[in-house]
Amino acid sequence: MMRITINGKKCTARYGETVLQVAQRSGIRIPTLCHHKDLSPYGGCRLCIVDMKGKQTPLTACTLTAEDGMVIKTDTPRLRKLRRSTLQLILSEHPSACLICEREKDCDNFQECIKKSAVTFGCKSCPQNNKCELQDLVRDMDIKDLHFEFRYRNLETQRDDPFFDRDYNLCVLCGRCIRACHEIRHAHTLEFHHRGPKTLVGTAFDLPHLESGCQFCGACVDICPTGALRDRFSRYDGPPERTVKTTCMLCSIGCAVDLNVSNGKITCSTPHKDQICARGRFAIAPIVNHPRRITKPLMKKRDGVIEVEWDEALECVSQKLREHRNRTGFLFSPQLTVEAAENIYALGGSLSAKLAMPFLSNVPPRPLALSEIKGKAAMIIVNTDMVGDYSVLLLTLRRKMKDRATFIVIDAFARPSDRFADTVLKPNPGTEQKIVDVLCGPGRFPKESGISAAEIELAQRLVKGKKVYVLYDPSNSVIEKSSKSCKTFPLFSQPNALRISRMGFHCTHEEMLTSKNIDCLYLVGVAPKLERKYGTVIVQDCFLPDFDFDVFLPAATFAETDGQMVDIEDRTKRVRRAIEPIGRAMPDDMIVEAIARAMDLRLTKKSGKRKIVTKRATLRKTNRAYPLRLIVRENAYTYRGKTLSAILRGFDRLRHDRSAWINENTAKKFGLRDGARATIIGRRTSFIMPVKISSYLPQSTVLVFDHPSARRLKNEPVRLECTKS
Amino acid sequence: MKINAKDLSRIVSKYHDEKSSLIAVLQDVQEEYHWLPPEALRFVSEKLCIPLIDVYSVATFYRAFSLTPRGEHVVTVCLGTACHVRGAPLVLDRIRNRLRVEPGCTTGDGKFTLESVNCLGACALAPIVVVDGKYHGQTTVKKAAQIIEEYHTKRPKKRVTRRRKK
Repeated sequence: MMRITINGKKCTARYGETVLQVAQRSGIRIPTLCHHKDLSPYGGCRLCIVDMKGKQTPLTACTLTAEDGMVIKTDTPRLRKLRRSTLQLILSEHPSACLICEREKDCDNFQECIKKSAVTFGCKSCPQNNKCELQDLVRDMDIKDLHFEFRYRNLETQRDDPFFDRDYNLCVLCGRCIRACHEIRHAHTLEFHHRGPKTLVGTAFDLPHLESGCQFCGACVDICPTGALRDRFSRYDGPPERTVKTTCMLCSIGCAVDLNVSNGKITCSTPHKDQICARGRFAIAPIVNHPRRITKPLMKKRDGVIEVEWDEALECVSQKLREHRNRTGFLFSPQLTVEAAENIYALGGSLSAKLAMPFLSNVPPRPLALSEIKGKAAMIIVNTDMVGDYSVLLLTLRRKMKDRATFIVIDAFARPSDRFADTVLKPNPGTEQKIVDVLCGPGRFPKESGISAAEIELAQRLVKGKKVYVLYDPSNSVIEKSSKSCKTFPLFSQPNALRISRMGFHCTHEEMLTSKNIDCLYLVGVAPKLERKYGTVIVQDCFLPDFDFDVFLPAATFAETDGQMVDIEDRTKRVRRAIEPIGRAMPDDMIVEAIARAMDLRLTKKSGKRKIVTKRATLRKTNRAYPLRLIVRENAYTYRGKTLSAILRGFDRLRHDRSAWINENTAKKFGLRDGARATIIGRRTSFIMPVKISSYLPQSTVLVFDHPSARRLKNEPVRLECTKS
Repeated sequence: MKINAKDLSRIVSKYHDEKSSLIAVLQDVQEEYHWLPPEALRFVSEKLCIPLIDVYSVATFYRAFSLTPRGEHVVTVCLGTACHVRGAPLVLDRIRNRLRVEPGCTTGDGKFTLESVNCLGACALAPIVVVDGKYHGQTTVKKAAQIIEEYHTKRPKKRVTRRRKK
């Protein structure tokens, strides 16, 4: 403990603390702009200058480490004057006419729509108005006039990227976005370029973010003190009236998010203290407010599908369920709250209906025990897009091991984003287990994997003497433990996997859809490909499915629902309702309860008959007629059976997950151009998809993200044909 | 612009793929091509395991690096105080009219790149025009035109390389 004096007040400082931290802890305000508590000190804005006894020149408090006996003054007339001129200089490059305008109040009252103008010339046309740190500083320092000539950079606003706009005319070059990108996210997308008055923040060669390896996590947008970076969806909504802390249910990690609510509408979702990914940041509000969302019960009648009242719909559903009883099949999404899943399970149980496992893989879920991972560790990541699908988990792992962990990626489809790893091995699909074996313990050199001995040796050297953890997505491939020194953890991309799998089920998805004993399907948040006609199809969802249904019950999203979710570590988290469900939608658990009430049933829990059995995929060989292998990968960017890219265009541009990925040679061989539509023909079925050409794919493979038609051809040999549209 | 991966690997391996020698590597690339082609920056980024944005940031920071193709001959006119007093702006105007380009630009035929500089530290020779590393002191408007004509017909020579400490 050290003692320092700030403005005559005696404060205690811990070892390594900066003067700014000590002051903030002791309730002494020092103005800052480039400083952020989660980032390294930078000392760029010069607003936090303080006087120190024994030093003539002022020093920046954010970079000044506290030492015993320091005497600091933060608020002398000289400092105030210096600070004011520094801020004046910053404002000379920031459109600031509104900051000093005496008619500011009138503007607020009468010119509300002016903020929708295309060019930001002052605070009133800035999306960040009233959320801006620069405004706060001007108010605090009581700046009434500008001393320097204003210099407008006259740059075009960059609107090419999904989710956010960048207007570098407003940038004050504090470098927060850059440090967030480098230090917190390890993404290395942004940096200062050029120098002197031409200095700007940007990507390499000023490419759009889509082409420069951006994860679209939104960390830069949230950390920007001005309106230079702004979320496109909520740009006109102003500061939120209230925020509601909830849990994101778009994947199994379950990050804490704050839902911002204004005028009874969810405007955006921001991270609650920690980090979130593109889904949590940019998908929640657009899904809830989606124009194609159905919020009224629908029923198929003689004259087509029409809107009906809840009572009528419930009456119809209960009648149909009573008719079919044990010939009913329930399919539900794991992205429902635990309560909803339990209710569906109980309803199915009391009808003696069939219940299907909601996920595709056959591996019994196990909690990811993060507490077990410690010390010197090597992480082997197999067939999993860590940066795309589990970016927050990757950050947690790195933080846990203080950036000293060794990462090895084994994936035939390793992406450029996988360069975070110490080494990337690209084996032939199907040989991953053999490589894990040779890395973790006794195993013979896997010649058929197509990896050179030198690469294996390098990986072995990286692993040597370390505890090995194998992380894999079981929907993509199943990896078994190969020696005592290694531990395997399956990563389930869907939430609630652990809780739901404990319930016990009758059959898998596939078996349910091919079973002949099912007459009535009750689908909650799933949109499978229906192979045949059913007597009755009941759909409970947010968006219309692409097949015929008899009754559609509008469900609320998780942002409008109270409940629980279980994350990848088997922790139960609260899901909170931020707004009342839009329109006449209802939370899933309440819909099921209402049906039970209409049927005079008591929801009792019965367990299913079957536990899940692990099945190993067998690979059929490719031949001349079917020269390519179709690899189907789990898509972690879904909500209730719909891929995010089908609902939101931004995700389509980011992920291209509705396309079949092939490499240039395959494209040339089959005469396909990027974006062309191709028919993928397998032995059993065929489907049409646009083609995406990418150089990082291996030869003779087609990569498709999980898709109802593609599932039947998983790992099968296929061929491509150009489709004339 | 065709990039020869072999040449580039030779340059990078000269510095043992060391991250800290980024600037030295970029200098050598600049010497090889007279500018830094984007493909070369990508290559260097991958080889040295430095994110592309960091390479780009360094490349745009220093004036010694150019991200646009440069002419066969680089004409630098000093506009420092001493040169300015002795008529450098007139010399620059003459060269500008002759080449029909602004300072910082390259002629359409790719022969010349015109640049201005604020002081070369050889004020006794003011006004100075430097072409391909060769100093032409006490230039006049008339002399400037002659110098340009002289290089117009001359074939490009290997540029004078700066000596580096070993």
